Amino acid sequence: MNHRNTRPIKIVIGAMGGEGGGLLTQWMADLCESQNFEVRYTYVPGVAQRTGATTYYLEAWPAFSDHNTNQSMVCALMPCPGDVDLLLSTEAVEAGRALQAGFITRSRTTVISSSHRAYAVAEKIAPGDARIDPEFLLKTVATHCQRLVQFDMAACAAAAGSIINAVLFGAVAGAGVLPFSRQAFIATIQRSSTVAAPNLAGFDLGYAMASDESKDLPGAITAAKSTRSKPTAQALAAMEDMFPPDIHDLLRMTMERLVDYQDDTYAKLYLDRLQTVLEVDRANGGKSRDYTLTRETGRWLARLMTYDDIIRVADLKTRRQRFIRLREEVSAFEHQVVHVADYLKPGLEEFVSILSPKLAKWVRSFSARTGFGVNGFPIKIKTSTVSGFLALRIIAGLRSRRTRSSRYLKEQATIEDWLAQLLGAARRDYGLALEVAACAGLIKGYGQTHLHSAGRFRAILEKIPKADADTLRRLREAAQEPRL
Amino acid sequence: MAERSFSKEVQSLRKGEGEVFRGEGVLAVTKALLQSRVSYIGGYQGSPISHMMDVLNDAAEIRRELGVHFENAASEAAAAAMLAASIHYPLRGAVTWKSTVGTNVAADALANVASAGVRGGVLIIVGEDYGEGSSIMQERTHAFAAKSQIWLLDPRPDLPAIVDAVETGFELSEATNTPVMLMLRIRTCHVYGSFVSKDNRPGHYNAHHPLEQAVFDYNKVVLPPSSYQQEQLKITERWPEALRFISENKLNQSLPGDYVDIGIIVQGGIYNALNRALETLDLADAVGNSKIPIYVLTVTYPLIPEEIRTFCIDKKAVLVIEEGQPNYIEQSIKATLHGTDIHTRIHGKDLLPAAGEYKARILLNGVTEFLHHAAPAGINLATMKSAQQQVTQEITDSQTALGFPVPARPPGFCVGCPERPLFSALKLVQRELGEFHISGDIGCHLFSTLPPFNIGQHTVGYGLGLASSSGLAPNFAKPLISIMGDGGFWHNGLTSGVANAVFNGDNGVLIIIDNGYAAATGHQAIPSTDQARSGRSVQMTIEKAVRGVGARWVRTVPSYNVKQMVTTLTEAITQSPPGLKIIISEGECQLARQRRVKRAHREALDCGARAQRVRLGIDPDVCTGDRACIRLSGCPSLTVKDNPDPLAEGPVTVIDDQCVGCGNCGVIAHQAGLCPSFFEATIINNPSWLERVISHVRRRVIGTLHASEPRGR
Repeated sequence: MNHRNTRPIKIVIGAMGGEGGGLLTQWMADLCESQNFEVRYTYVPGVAQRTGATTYYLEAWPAFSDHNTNQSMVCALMPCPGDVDLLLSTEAVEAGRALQAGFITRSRTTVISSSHRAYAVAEKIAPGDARIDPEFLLKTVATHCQRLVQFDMAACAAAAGSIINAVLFGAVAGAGVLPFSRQAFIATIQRSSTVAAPNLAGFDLGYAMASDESKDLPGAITAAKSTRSKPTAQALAAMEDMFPPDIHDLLRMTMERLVDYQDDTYAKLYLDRLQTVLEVDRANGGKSRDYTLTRETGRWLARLMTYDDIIRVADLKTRRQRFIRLREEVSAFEHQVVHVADYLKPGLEEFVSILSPKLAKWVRSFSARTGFGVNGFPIKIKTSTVSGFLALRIIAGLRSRRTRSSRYLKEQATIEDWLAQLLGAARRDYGLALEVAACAGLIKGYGQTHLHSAGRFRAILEKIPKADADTLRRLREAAQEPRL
Repeated sequence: MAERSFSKEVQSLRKGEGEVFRGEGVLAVTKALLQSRVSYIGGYQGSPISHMMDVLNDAAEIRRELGVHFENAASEAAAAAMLAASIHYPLRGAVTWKSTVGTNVAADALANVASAGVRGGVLIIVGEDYGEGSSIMQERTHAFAAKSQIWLLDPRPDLPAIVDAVETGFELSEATNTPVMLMLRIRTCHVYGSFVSKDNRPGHYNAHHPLEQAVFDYNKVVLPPSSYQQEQLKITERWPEALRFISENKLNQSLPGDYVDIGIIVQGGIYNALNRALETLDLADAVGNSKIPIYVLTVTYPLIPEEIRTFCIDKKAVLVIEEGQPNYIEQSIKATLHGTDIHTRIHGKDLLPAAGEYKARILLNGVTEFLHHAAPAGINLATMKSAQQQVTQEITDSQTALGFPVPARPPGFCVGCPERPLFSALKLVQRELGEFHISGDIGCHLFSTLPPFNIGQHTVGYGLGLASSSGLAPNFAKPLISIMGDGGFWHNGLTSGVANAVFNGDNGVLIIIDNGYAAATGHQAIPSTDQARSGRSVQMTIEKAVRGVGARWVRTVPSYNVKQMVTTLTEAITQSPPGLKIIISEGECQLARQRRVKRAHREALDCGARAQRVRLGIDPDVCTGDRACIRLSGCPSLTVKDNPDPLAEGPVTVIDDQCVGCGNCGVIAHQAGLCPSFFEATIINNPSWLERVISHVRRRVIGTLHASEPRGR
């Protein structure tokens, strides 16, 4: 045959460890060979680790090698930028990685990629939200390739009970980019494995998605939203009278949270506090600023008022909806027995803080003398047993006594202090007041983490009278650096 | 059993004359060895030749039939020393390892065997761990071959060429009484292709037909005066004989081309990438018919001066393509032509990058540059350039399209890895006692140097973690902490590290990570591997070994017990008695464990038996979203998702389906006092009737309590 006119089909497979990229490559090779193509492939396995990005490279050539003349395809062993016909990617950022390597080019490359995200360590540990948007990624890929086929293959794999490689293999068949029949693909899967059924299910789903037979993603598992205590209609009407319509949605949400956390009276206290902010906001041109100060303060005030204490944790851990959500999350079926154990480590302070101020003082001094409980109480409580559940339910039941606890008084004092600073700032500089509001975000966590963050928060509060918006923002950002 | 089983693939090692063999590079090399009358094979695992060790292990039955002895050597030095078998006797043998690191370790034995010379053919198969996917310093094996006068083969990365190199290598070795090195690059080791088999042939002598007569020949002992004589022999006999053999058997190939006034000299291993570059420039086709003459060096040491002169004589310019540095081949070619009346211009590193892997696009640019300089008759450079312009523009567009680099995804600790809790413990200890200088070693545990741990200031070699602390420790106020894996420990760390420190009275803390295998390279058995899992009749324990060389302060701590680890580490660091303090961090490699556990789980489910699995989870409404848990544990199954709380900023942590239920994240949450959002769920399949009853009662009672929740909670 005339070799000069024949060029191999060049395929790059970008996968992460554990996604079956090696098996997919073997399937592709077996498929091509079964259709009388000659195949070479290679890869860099990155030893035995599971988490790194791995690239497989395959060339297929519509001719048999001639072992007598030793003339056969010369495989380049690695993809060459600008010279890739088909790029398969098991995850959106991996498609982006291929783009940056030059393996995706406009006039040549068909890209078949899953649209889901598996986050890299850098995205996970960065403070705030550093996640890369897969939509943006794949839009960019779409404008730099010949054709893009993309859908959430992880969801398909989960629905089919296969791993992602089978779905991707199905997508290759469904997209019709290789000159082989669907049957040839299926035969490959059947040849390769004794447990073909889940792989075939994944394949079928991938085929359907890529061939436009269906564009409906299999129903993603959605966690049941917990039914919450609702504010009364009266209270809501009162809120709507008091506040401008722009922020009604937010306030409905925050009120629901406060009622759920404590009770109607507590929600009323919230609205009263926010009303003083609204008045100052109005007086300082809030209307023309869409009441940003009221909105932001409303958001943070709700978070500060619903501070996390052991009552709240016990409450959330014993809700009916939690048990439903939990079984879904661990993919347990009805006929399976599920035991649940919660890792809790309340510090002495967290117990003490739900006591009355007097009692709290006594326990603290007892602990200081005897060393009782200084390292906290690490417990693994079996919440699915009656005794474990009851223990947590009793703690949750202390909710009615919360407003008499020492912690409550302390938190309210901090909130009042913060609000006073905020109002003072609003009269001087609207931007500064917004920064003061945002400082509330510094307080987070439980136990030691909470103590440290609250300490940093109070230290910043003291600096507000002399600060401008810029200084405060810098101080706040510096204080946000994680300790661990 | 190693991580990857080749039990199916090894059946193809039985193929006979004329049958087509299909498989990966290392499998083909193994087949070629069996076709070459080898009597013994040895090696030490390490990418990219780990699979070769696995294949040889899995091919035990075929080896037995052919009488081939195979040794999982304790180190590359031990493997290289096996070659002594071929010094006096007509035994063919082969050894393999990762290079250059393995060659460094083996260098003592290699140099001695090369000096003494061999009677039976000897092949040293090195996996050249260079370029993308490499895990070591970037160096060339070439220098080792040249300094010891070992011949170096670098065949084209196609299976027939590789198999041929193995078979011819043994003949070359015997014809010249010299060891031969076969260099295989990373992708070559794993390239899938085919070749036509020959029958397997047993060695002339082996376990079935042992040698009867011991030979004594002082000329083969490396001691004066023999050693002086051996050096002379290398130059006066072995070297000229090698040139003759390589020439006569045409080991190097001179490929013709239309443009006869220029040429390219290339290492065999790079030839395929070069052909792709030429193909892209429309100067070659897909099967290697090139318009430019090419001289392919299958043997990169020694070079054949006569062949080089013949190739260059009628050419005005020649490009030497030689990967890595220094450019030994280019220098040597220039020296060969120097002082002759051949005035060919030799290009090489002046047009190609001096360092780094030669990928196809780099070669394409280099060849284009070369054509520009050489200006051969008949090639229209302008047309060629404009043909490339569009592709080049497209590549640039693609590469810059995102506007930010996508996050790196380096390999890291697996889900449930027993090493992670150790490094979490170290992080917690450092939070209390300040930062330490921590000496790293080689193995999976070196991933501790990456985020989120950032632990381990240096690494200087396998098993050398402790030895690498001995210079700094006396000059440092705080005690040094050294890490060593069990693989490195048995490789040499017991002597170069522990015995050395005890002997010299060094102070410091050594953490030996005992995960049961040489895990990073694919779970090959080591002396301390559980007998049931290694299938061997012996098992040595690390604790006994270190006590045997005089270590007094030794504690074994289960690695998942973070609390005990923190306490023991703190004790080791702060306690006053001087000397070496050893903590053995014990926990089986989770990858290996899961292979067993998952199979058992599946089997139990298949026959309807009781089977339980454990999974960790996080309550999203309790999670604070500060992700200290990810920074402290780093488990890949800990990831993030949108915060269900619309009032909150930033994502919350979630545990995905990869979770193997080791419980470390929960334990860390306890130990570090993180948030109370972690829970452990035990899911029981096919529960017993008693379990079902208890569970039913519990759910009924809790359900009733739920019904009494105020206002529908």
